[in-house]
Amino acid sequence: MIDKNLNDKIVIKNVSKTYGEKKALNNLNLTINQGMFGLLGRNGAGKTTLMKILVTLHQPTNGNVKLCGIDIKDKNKIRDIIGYLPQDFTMYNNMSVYEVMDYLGVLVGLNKKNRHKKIVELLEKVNLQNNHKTKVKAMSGGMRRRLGIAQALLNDPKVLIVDEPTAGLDPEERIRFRNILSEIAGNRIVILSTHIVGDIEATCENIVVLDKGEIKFSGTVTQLLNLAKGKIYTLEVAKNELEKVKKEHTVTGVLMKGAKVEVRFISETQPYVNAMVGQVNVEDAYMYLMSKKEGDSYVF
Amino acid sequence: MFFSLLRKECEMWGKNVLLYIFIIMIFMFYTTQMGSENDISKPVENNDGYYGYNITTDETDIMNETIYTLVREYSNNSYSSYPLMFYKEKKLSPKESDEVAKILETLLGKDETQWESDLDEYYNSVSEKKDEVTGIVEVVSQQTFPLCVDSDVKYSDFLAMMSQVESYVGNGSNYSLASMQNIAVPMTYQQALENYEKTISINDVASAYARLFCDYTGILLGIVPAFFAITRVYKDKKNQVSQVVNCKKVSTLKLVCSKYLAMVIMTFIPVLILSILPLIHATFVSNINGVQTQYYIFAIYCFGWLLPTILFVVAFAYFFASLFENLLPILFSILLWFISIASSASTGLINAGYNLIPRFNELGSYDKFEKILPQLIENRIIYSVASILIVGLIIIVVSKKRVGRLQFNAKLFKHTKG
Repeated sequence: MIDKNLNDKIVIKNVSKTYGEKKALNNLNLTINQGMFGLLGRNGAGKTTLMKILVTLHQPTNGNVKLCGIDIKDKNKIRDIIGYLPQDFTMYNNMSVYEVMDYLGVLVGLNKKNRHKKIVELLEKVNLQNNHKTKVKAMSGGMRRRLGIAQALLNDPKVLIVDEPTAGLDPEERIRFRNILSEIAGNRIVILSTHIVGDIEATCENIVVLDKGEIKFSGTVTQLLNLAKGKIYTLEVAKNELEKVKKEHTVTGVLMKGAKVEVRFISETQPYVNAMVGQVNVEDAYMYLMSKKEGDSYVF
Repeated sequence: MFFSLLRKECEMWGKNVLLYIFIIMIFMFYTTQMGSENDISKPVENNDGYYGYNITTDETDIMNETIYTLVREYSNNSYSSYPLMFYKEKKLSPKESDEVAKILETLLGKDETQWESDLDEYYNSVSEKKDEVTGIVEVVSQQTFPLCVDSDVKYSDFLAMMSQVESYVGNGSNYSLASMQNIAVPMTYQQALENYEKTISINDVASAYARLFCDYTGILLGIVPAFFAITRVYKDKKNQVSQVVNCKKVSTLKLVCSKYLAMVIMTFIPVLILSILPLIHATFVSNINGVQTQYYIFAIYCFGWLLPTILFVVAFAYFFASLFENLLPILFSILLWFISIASSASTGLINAGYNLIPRFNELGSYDKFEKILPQLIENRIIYSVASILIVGLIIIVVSKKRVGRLQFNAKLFKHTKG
């Protein structure tokens, strides 16, 4: 049954997932609203597991999930409202861009006429309008991801889930891809999973940081930045003193300045007289968060 | 939606190099195997008295032919057998040889000294004659082979004695029941003529070629389509296509059935097209023999005989490929094929039984075909029904895989990516 109050939300309640002895997700509680939502975390933090649960590719061991009011167990209805771009998206190498879209268009139940119209529209949206006949094997990584996002939109999904979409892309392609994601977000829920902090900073307002299957942080980007406010320091040291700073603190950046080095690091208090409090960016804040001990969580 | 999907799947196969390799394979197999058969024609009486061979059901013939082989193998103490299709030579122990000697004495009604003396006399009369034109050396003798079964020996006793010999030599020897039931003896002119007249009177010409076509083609179809299914599933996994496809709206029933039927159709179409070649040949032979060609007969044989093989082989391979998602099912499919071929090899290449690959390696011989026909029909129905049941199992497996269940981590041939 569809709960109309939850029509534009994803509600995750007490969700756990175990693979044999390994706990990939541990009692996760989360509500995701419309708009771009960032999922951050180290490799193995549980991001992909969570996304696979959301797209029905895995089942939670415990707990329940509702996407736009539909229970995750109602797979047919869920599959009708989701779009998924997996990590390293690819298709059969000898297929052309149009053929990939056409094949997947059949799988989402589009008839021939609507399929053609939709494919043309989506390929234009992702700037592949001149590549209808390009074979998958001839496409660059960036082009494949754009094709991946186009195929994920074939059914006009309410929920779009993209897994590590910018990994391995050059800066230009990465920015182009982020812009496409922002454009198509509209009134959808778009979940962007990544370990590249810059992607989240540029596109998402709300984020969750997962660590070892648990929520380490849940809130806005501003709240994450505030968390690290006054904890990021910069210091100019001689090159031979850099190792000492690295040993004592988590270093978030190093800038060579001739014989000297400007080092950014995390510290709860001012550790050196000449260390100055620095402007916090999302990368610093993320590093600060991850430096906190296991079990500490910040849910806003 | 289903037919759109089926068409897409077929189109994808149409662009797959594997399909073209298969087409080349069956064409090559057809031209090298079937092309070598003699045509159906009225026998003409000739001086050399050769009118082909026929598998005998005459008990005396079977006993004499078997004794001929047993004497030769006993004299050399070298017994041949084909356990699991491969040739194996066996030397018997002195005790076993003594037992065989006693059997021979009983069968021939002579002691060893006497039959050896008869044999020596026979071989002394043998001379070699070389054909000036062909260069072929022919062995000729003024006498007939002197050793034959004693008239007091009952066939049932003979079979019991051969069973004893087989226990010494091993499975797949010349003394197995299957082997003795497939002893070919030269046909007389009269027999050859009767065979021919039967073929013409019931207009079995096109059917005879169709049976032979099914016999040869069935061997390839017992294994090659398996590669279609296994590589398709493996490729989906390797390219992570299944992740994209599995979360789409399409039902598992449509997904599995469209892939399965596309593989079956794209395997079967080249077979149907290839069958036009022997049909043309059969038309030519029918015309020569003054009978009307039954043009539809090849289609009937292809659908009735070959299609169930394709249905089963694809289903079998697709099931294990879906379960393991690696290349391990290739081994299962090869094993299935090998067992089928091996079991038919010991039965003279005319059999149906429960064999996946029914054999009928003779042109004509409608009487023999008539004998195995009920068995063949039952066999084909069983494999067709089994295929449908296996497809049902595939649907269950794939639907579980779509939600992350039944994930095995078989290492053999497992892909390394992702």
